Amino acid sequence: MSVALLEARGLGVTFRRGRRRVEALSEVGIAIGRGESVGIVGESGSGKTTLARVLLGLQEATAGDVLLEGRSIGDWLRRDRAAFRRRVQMVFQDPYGSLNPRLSIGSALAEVLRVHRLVHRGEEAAAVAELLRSVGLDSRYADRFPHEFSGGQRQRVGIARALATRPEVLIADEPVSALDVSVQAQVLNLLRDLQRERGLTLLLIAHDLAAVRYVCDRVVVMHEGRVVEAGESAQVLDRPVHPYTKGLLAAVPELGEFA
Amino acid sequence: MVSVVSRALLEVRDLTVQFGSGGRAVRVVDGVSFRVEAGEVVALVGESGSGKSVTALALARLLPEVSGRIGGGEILFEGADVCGFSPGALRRLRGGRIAYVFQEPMAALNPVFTIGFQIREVLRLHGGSGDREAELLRLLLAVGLSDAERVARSFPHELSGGMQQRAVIAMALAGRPRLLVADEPTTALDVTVQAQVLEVLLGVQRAEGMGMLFITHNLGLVARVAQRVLVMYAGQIVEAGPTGSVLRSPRHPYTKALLRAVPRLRGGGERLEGIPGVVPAASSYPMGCRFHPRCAFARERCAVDVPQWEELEGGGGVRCHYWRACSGSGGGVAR
Repeated sequence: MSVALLEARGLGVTFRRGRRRVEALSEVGIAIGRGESVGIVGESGSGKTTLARVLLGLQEATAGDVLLEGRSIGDWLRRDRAAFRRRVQMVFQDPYGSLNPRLSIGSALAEVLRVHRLVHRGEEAAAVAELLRSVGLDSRYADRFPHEFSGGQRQRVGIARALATRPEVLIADEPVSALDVSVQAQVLNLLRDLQRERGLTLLLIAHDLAAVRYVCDRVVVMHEGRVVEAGESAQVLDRPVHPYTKGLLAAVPELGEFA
Repeated sequence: MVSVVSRALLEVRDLTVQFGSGGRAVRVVDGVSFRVEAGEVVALVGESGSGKSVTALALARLLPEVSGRIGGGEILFEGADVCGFSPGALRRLRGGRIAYVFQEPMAALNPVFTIGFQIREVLRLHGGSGDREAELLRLLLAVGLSDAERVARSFPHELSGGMQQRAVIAMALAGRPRLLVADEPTTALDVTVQAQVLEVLLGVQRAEGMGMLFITHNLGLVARVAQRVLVMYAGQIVEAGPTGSVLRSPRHPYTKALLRAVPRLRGGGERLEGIPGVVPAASSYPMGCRFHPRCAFARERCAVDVPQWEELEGGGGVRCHYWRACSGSGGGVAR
C-alpha cells in the first residue's frame, strides 16, 4: 500500500475550560492520497476547523499524530519547519483578515516568495504576475491594495498567496461561505481547476454540502469531534448511511423539484 | 383627504431611495414596485449590493434620513402611505404592525437584559391589555423554546445561535405584526438549525396569517418558503413571478445566471457558471440595461435603451429587451 500524502491517525484534541474538558476531536483518522480532493463537512462545533489547524501544525494534538509522507508532523516542525510550511498551505474564509491592508497585493505575494527564498530578487515581479494570472487576476493588479478588490477577487488573492510556495497540499477552510453565489461559483471552479490541473491535494472544509460535492472526490462527515461517515462524495451524499448525515442532507434547502 | 384604498397588505409603488445629496446623490433603490398579500410569503433575492436590504428597511422608514432618503414612490401599508406617517404613527408601526427579523440575532438583542425583559418591553409598547406573563410564555413556546421560563430568565449570551434567533422571532411576534420582514433570518445558522428556525418562522406565519417578505441570497430557501419571488439587480426588480415558474423557467438572463451558479447537492458535476464581474455600485450604473455588461445575451441595443418592465401572463413580469429570445437557451452568462 502506498503511503498517504497526508494522514491523521487517531487524532484527539482536548481543550480545558476551567475544570471542564472539551473534546474537540476524538479518534479522527483520515488518509489523503496525492492529488486527491477531500471535503470535510459538519456544522459549527463539529471540529472541522480544529482538524484543519492540527493538520497545518497550528494546533497540537493531545492524542494521535499527523503524518506528511509518513513522517510525523512534530518531526517536520522540529527539523524542517520551513519545508513543511511550503508544502502545506492554507486558504482562509476571510481573505481580508489575512491580508495586510497597508501592503499592496504584489508586495504581499513577493514577501512570501522572499521568506521562502523561492525566486531571485530580479524575478520577483514576474513571479508575482504569474501567480496573479494563475488565479485569474490581471497581473497589473499587483500595485493595488486589498480594499480595492471585491470579495471574490480577494479570495483569489488569498489563493494566490497560498500557491506562492508551490504547495502540494492546500487546506481551504470555508473559502466561499462569505461570497455571493455568483462569485462562489468562480472560486469553486478555480479550486477545482487548480486541483485537477496541477495535481494539488485539496482539503476543502465547508458546511455547504453541494459545494463539497462539486469540488471533492471524497467527503468526510464530522459530528461532535468525530468522523461519523466517509466515502466517495456521490455515494455519501446520494446514499448516506449514518443518521447524522441523513439529517444534515435533509436539512439542506434545495432547488430540487424546481429548475 | 381621500386615502388610497389598496387590497394588498403591502403595496410598494415606484419606490426610490437615495443616498447622498445634490449632484452626488445615488439611487440605491430605483423604481421598485411589488405587493405582499396577507398570508403570503414573497422572497426578495439578488446579490449583495443589489438593494434588497435597503428596500426592506425603507418599508418602515428605518433608514436614517441623513443618508438614505425616500426619493419618490409610495409605500402603502394596509392602505395608508407610510411616507406620510407622523413620528408617533411610525413608532406604533415599527415593531407593531411591521416587525423585522435580521440575520444576526446578537445584533438584535440587548446583551445586558434578559430575553423576558426584552419581550415584555415589546408587549408593553405594542401588546394588548392581556396577561403579559402568560403572553410572554406563549410566544416563547410558539417559537419552539419549550423551556420557556428558563429562557425568559436567560441573557442572550446564555443561548445558542438558534435559540437566540427563535427569541428574536418571538420578540417580533410580540407586537402581533401583520407583515414580517425577514432579512436573511437563517443565514448565520447551521443548516440543521436553519431548517428548524425556518419551520418555526413559517409555522407562525401561517398560524397568524401574516404576510412575509423573505430576503435571501439562497435560491434553495426561496424554493422552500415563498409563493412568489422578486429578483433584484442594481436597485431594480428585474423579474417577478410565482416561485415555481421563476425557478423552473426563468425569463431574465440574470435569474438564469443566478440559478446556474448554484452547485447542486444531487446530480451531475457539470461545470458551474459564475457571473463575471460584480454588481455595479449605485454611483456607476451602466447605461441601458444595468445587467448588460455581465449578460451573455446582450446586444447593441442593451447598452443604449433602458428595458421597461413588461407584465407577464400568470402574474409577474420581466425587465429585459430580449427575454423571449433568451428563453429556452441555457446559460445566462457572458463568456
